[in-house]
Amino acid sequence: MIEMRNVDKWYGSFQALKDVSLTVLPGEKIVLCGPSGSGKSTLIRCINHLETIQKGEIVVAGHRLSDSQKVVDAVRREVGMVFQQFNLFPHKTVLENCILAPMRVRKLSRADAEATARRYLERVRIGNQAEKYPAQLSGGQQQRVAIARALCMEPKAMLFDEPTSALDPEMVKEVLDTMVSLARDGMTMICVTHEMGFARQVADRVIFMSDGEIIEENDPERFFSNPTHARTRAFLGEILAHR
Amino acid sequence: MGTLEFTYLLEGLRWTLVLTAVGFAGGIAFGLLVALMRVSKSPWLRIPAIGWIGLFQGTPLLMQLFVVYFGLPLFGFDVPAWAAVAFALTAHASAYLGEIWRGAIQAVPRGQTEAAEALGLPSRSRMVDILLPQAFKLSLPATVGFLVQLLKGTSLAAIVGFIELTRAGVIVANQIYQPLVVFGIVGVMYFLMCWPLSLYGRHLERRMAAGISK
Amino acid sequence: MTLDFSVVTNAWQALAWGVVGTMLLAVFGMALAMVIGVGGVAVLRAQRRIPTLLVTAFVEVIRNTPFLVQIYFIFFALPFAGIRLNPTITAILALGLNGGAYAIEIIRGGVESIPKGQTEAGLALGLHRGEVFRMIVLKPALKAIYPSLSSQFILLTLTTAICTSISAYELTSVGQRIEAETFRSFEVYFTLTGIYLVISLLTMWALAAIGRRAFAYPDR
Repeated sequence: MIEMRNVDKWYGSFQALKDVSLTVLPGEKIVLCGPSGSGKSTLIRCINHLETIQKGEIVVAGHRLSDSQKVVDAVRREVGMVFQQFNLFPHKTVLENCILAPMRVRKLSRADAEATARRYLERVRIGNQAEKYPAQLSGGQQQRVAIARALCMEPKAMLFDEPTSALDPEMVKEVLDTMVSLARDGMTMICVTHEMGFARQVADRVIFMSDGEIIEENDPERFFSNPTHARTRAFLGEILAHR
Repeated sequence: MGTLEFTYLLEGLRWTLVLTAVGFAGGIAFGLLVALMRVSKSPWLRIPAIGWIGLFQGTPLLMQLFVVYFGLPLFGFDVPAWAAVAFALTAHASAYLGEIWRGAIQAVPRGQTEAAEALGLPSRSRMVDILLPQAFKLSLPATVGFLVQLLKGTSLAAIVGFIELTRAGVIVANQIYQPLVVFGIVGVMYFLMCWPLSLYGRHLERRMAAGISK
Repeated sequence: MTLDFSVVTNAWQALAWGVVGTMLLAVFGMALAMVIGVGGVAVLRAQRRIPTLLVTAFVEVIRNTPFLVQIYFIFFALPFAGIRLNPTITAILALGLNGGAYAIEIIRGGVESIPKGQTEAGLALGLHRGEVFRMIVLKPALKAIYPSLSSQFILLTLTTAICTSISAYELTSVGQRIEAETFRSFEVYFTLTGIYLVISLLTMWALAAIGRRAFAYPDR
C-alpha cells in the first residue's frame, strides 16, 4: 500500500529523515512515536507530498511519487490526512467542509457528495451538527469532523498527525474511539501519536523514531514489554511516568 | 533646470518643513488633550472629542485647509497665509494624533489600571505615571507614520496658493516647461524626507512586535 | 460678516453631479487599487528577485511622496508617452496607483495571517494551489483585512478631492467653479465639507453592513 525506500529529507543543512524505509500493507495499522523533532510528522507528510524528499523513493497505491502534479493528485486522492490543529475551514459549515473536495476533486454531484458526507458525519457521531460552523464546535467535535472530511474522499489509507495533542484531556477519548472504530473496519492507518493505550489496542506495529531515524519497530506486545533499544526505553519511561 | 530654479525649490522645501514642524508640534499638544477627552469617563468631554476626530477623519484635508483659510478672515482673524495653513494642519493633526493615542491608551493592559488602583494611586497619577508612558511607547510607530502623512499633506497648501515645495515645483515647471524633470526632483525631495521616517517607524514596529512575542 | 448660502443651494444640481463624480472616481480608483494590490501580492509571493524589487520600490515610492505630486507627474508624463487621457481617467489612474500601493501591504498582511495548516489541509484533500487560494485562503483573508480595506476606501474617497488640481470631474472641482463665479469661498467649502462628511459616514455605515453580511460566519 505504502512503500518508502531509503528516504532522506533535508531542511537546508538539517537532516530530518535519515535513510528511512517502511512498508505498510493494506489494512495495516502503524503507530509512530518518538520525541519531538524526531521526524515522525515529517515522515507522514512526505507520504502525501506536503514535504518533498531529496533521496530515496516513495510508492503509494502503485504511484511512484514525483513532482508531477498528476502523480501528486493521484496519491492525495487515495490518502486522507488528519492534522493536530484540525484545520477545518472556518468560513464553511461542517457539511461544506466535507463536500468541498469530493465535488472539486472527485467531481461528485452535490447531492452525492452530501449523501456521502452525511453518512460519514453520522459515523463519527456528529450528524446533527452538519449545518454549524467549526468555531461553534468543541475541539473533539472539530477533530471528528476533520476525520469525516478525510473519509468523504473514500481514501485507501489515512494519516494521523498527532490528532489528540491539541485537545483538552476530556475530549481525547471521543476522538480515539472514532479512530479505533475506523481501525476495526479495516482502514490502513499510520498514526503519529503518544497515546500508548491506542497503540496497544489497534496497532499491528509500533515504530519508534529518534533524530530522523527508525530506531526500533515491533508488535505492540513486545514493543512495550521488551524494548530492545536504550533510547526506546528512555522514551517509554518518560511518557509512561507522566500518566 | 539651473541653480536659480533649484534654489527656489529649496526655498519652498523650507516652508514645507516649517509647516510640518508647526503642525506636528501643535498637533502633539492639542492631540494629547483630544486623547484625554476621548478616554474620559465624562460624556461632556468624550462626545466632543469623538465629534472632533470624526470631523477631521471624515473630510478631506483639502477642505479643512480651504475652510480655515477662507473662514479665519471672515471671523475677523487677519493672519498671514502660512499661519492659516499651519492652524488647519494643527487642528487636523490633533484629531489624528488624538485617535492614535486614544488607541494606545486603551491598548495598555487592563491589569495596569487595576494594579494602580489597588495601590491607591489617584486618577491623575494613574494616567500620568502609569498609562501615558506605556501608551506613548505603544503609539510611537503610528505617530511616526502620521508624521509622514502630515509632511505629505502639507503639499495641499499648494492648492490654496501657498508657496511650499509642491507649489514652487508648479511655478518652476511652468517657467521652464519641463514638468517631468521638475516634479521628478520634487518627488525625490519628498521621498528623501519621508522614507527615512517610514523606515524608522517600521523599525520601531518590528522591535515592538519582537518585544511582545517574548 | 454676512454669510450667503443661497449660492450653494441654488447650485444643488451641479453639486449632486459632483457627488456622483466623486463616488465614481472612488469606486473605479478602488477597483484598480484592488487589482494592483492582488497582482502585487501575487508577484511578491512568487519570490523572484527582480519583480519583488520592482514591487517593493513601487510601494515605497508611492507611500513616501504626496498624492498631489504623483497626480501632477502622471498628468504631465502621459502625454510624453504619447497617451492623451481626459483628466478624469488620469485621476482614476493616479488614485488606483496610489491606493494600490497601500492595498498591497494590506492584502499581504491578510494572506500571511491565514495559518499554513489551512493550505496544507486543502492540498491534502487533493485541491490544487489555485483552488486552495480561491476557496480556502481568500475569504478568511478578506475577512481579516476587511476593516483595513474599508478605511482605505474612505481615505481614497477623501483623496479624490485632490483631483481638482487637474480639473477632474468631482465634487471639489464643481465647488471651485461655483466659487469662481460667486466669490463665496467660505460658504462653498463649508458646504462641501459637510457633504464629504455625509459621504464618509454613509459609506462607513454601508461598508460595515456589507461586511456583516459577507463574512457572517463565526470566527471563534
